[in-house]
Amino acid sequence: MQQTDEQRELLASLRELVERVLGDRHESLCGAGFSSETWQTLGGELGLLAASLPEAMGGMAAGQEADAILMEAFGKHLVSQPYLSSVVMAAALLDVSDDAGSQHLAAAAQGEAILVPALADSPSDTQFACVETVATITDNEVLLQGSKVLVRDAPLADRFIVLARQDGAADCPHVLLILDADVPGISREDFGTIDAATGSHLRFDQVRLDRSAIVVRGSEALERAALATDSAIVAVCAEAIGVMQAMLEQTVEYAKQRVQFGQPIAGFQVLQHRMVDMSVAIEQAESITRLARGKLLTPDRAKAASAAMALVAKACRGVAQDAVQIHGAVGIADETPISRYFRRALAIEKQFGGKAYHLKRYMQSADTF
Amino acid sequence: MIDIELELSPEDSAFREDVRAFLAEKFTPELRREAELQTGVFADGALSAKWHRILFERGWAAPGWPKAHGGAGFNATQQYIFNDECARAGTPNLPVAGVRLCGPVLIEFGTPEQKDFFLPRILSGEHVWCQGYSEPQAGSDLAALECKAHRDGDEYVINGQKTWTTHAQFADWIFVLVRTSREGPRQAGISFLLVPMDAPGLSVRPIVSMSGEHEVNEVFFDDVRVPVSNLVGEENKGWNVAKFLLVNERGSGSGAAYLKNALGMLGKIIADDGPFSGAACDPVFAGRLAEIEIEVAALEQSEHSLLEAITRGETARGHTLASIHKLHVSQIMQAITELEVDAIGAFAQIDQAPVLFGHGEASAQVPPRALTPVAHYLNMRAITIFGGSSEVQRNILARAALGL
Ligand SMILES: Cc1cc2nc3c(=O)[nH]c(=O)nc-3n(C[C@H](O)[C@H](O)[C@H](O)COP(=O)(O)OP(=O)(O)OC[C@H]3O[C@@H](n4cnc5c(N)ncnc54)[C@H](O)[C@@H]3O)c2cc1C
Repeated sequence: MQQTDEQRELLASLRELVERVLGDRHESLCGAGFSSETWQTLGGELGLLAASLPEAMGGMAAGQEADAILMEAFGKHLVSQPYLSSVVMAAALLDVSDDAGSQHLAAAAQGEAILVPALADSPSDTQFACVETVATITDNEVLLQGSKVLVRDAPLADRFIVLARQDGAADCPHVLLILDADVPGISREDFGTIDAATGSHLRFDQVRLDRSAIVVRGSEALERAALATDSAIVAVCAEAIGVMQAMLEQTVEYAKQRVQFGQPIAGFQVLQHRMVDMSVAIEQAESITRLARGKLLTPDRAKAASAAMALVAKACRGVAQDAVQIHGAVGIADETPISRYFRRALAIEKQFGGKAYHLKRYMQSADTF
Repeated sequence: MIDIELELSPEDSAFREDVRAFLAEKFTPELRREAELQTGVFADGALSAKWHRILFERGWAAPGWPKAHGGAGFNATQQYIFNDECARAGTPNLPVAGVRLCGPVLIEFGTPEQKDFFLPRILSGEHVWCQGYSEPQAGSDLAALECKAHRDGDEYVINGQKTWTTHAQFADWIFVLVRTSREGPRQAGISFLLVPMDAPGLSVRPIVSMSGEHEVNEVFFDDVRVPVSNLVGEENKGWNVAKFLLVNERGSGSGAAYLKNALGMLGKIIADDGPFSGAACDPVFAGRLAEIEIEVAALEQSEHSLLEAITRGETARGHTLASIHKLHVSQIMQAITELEVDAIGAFAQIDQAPVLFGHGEASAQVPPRALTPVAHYLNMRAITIFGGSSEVQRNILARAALGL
């Protein structure tokens, strides 16, 4: 992960730009207030969304480092959607070297189209068995039938990237499809999330697609789904760092100005230690996330991603709880920002399987690093 | 769970059978279903009123009050049995402001007129109460309160603000601590007043909690007038009344029952025949649950020993134990809600507030047991903050128990 001076400068300027941009725009990117216009500005005009992508697609080729910088900033400003779906995961699912794939990605990077992956059938489908979602592929079309429970960002989607099982293919049964979100036969049951984003339960009922909807078939489809998920895990860990840093900053600030018993509560040593513990947990989370980022394209990918998610999930929980406790009753009010960070931290813990799941996956992955 | 064997007299055994029979008859499946959807610190206004009424009709609305004031007159053991049986059944957690806080204060400090007027109405449920202690700048440091009252003829005129007032939106009356003097130590200028919520000049602003539930409020006083006869105790001696009440608030003596009720809910979430039974098979999860059960058993034993001491007339460690129990109950409760949230995994991301607190429809895609855990977890963050925060309890224990 050695960076050249040039890369470092590029990343530093990216960090500065995204901070400046989000500072006065995040309201229109958060939750129900999401504005596709603002998203397009971030993409097309400012070129931020392409930072991780190859230069040929208008990007900075800054890869995962750019993802991390953007996600951390999104975390700080509570923009919990839809970069993770539309860029991080989509880039792992689509093939930049083929025409169709790069066109879809370029549109996502411009902010013109929002791509939303629907991979597992349900939260318990951690191995992507996809038994409920079946694609029947004939000579001239693809027929999609099935359902996906709990797809984040789905209400924002222009296109879905769907992992399905091919009817009749026993060995390597998976297929990855890309389809417009408004194709007849797709129905959505939308819900809000605790972190003010949105999601849907999807149904595909006799959805007829052109064969060009096929992105890739066989084991490669499954492998890409796994890579997309691990990339998302590492990216969401970076977002968590931003979320936790914001909580720490706000808590320290609050403790300095909140007076009880004639003194700022920041003067109570027990609270000082608690805030120090928060910062120590964040430091640890940052380090394990950096480690996992470096392993994303190596055979240790899964083990490292799970190591990061397990530790970050633990940090999220502890830091969020400490932040609210130190705020006192103010911390439990919906109108206090800290409570919104608390809920985002909780959603991050649960988005790709919780701490227990990742500890298990860590223990089960071959020991190589 | 390990059951604690109470040595029951024949009367107490008969009493337990009475309570069981009562619950079997009156705690209907419909009430149980409603109770299972509660996520707040207390059951919501409508359910509380319903259950309170049923207890009232049986003469059990105030288990701890003496019979002379219309209470159930249970002895300490009977109160324990009653709480325990209610918890096992999973009855609603009733708000404490009237029966458990204001009632005992009036019994201890009230005038005969106050007792005659208020106590029967607390019992019947005609008056729902809320607690006006905290203010924006007076939380843990309660004596910093600034909401003031001055005498004008035979009335007090109140100006200022209270905050975090639980269930003010359902209340008919509020008891408030007000500043009636600035002379001497801060504690010496405080009085305890009873105020009807419909008094002109009193207004309530809701504060929505991070769960999406509306439990707490701000209450504003703008030249609110009450007769001098609404003063409890003496003017400027309200701090004694306040402290008496705080001790009652801290130590209910039935923390284990409260926790067993929550464990019962958790048990339903991870039930064998449900979609989240996998959690209970996970050794780490099962270990966390076992640890909690053991801590609840220890707490129950401690409460039981305290009960025996009180029955023998010993009160020496009562205050210390109240703080220890408050610490334990709140921490264990939070640990239980963490298990609830962990049991439902990714479903925790879905905001169920519209279903729980609004008119939203539950989705057929989401298992019903996934409805309550997140709101419960979020609401229970408050339990280490109110009623004396965990930090404040430790300060009390450092001083009172360790002499530091
Ligand atoms: C859900 C809920 C319901 C409530 N209902 C009511 C109600 O009905 N009526 C009512 O009057 N009030 C109510 N309260 C308010 C409650 O009593 C206060 O929250 C409590 O007194 C703590 O005050 P605070 O929130 O202002 O926190 P603060 O006192 O500002 O404390 C902030 C942080 O500093 C810590 N701290 C404070 N002092 C010390 C110290 N000396 N040493 C170390 N640490 C310290 C605290 O532990 C906490 O972590 C409610 C609160 C909640 C959350």
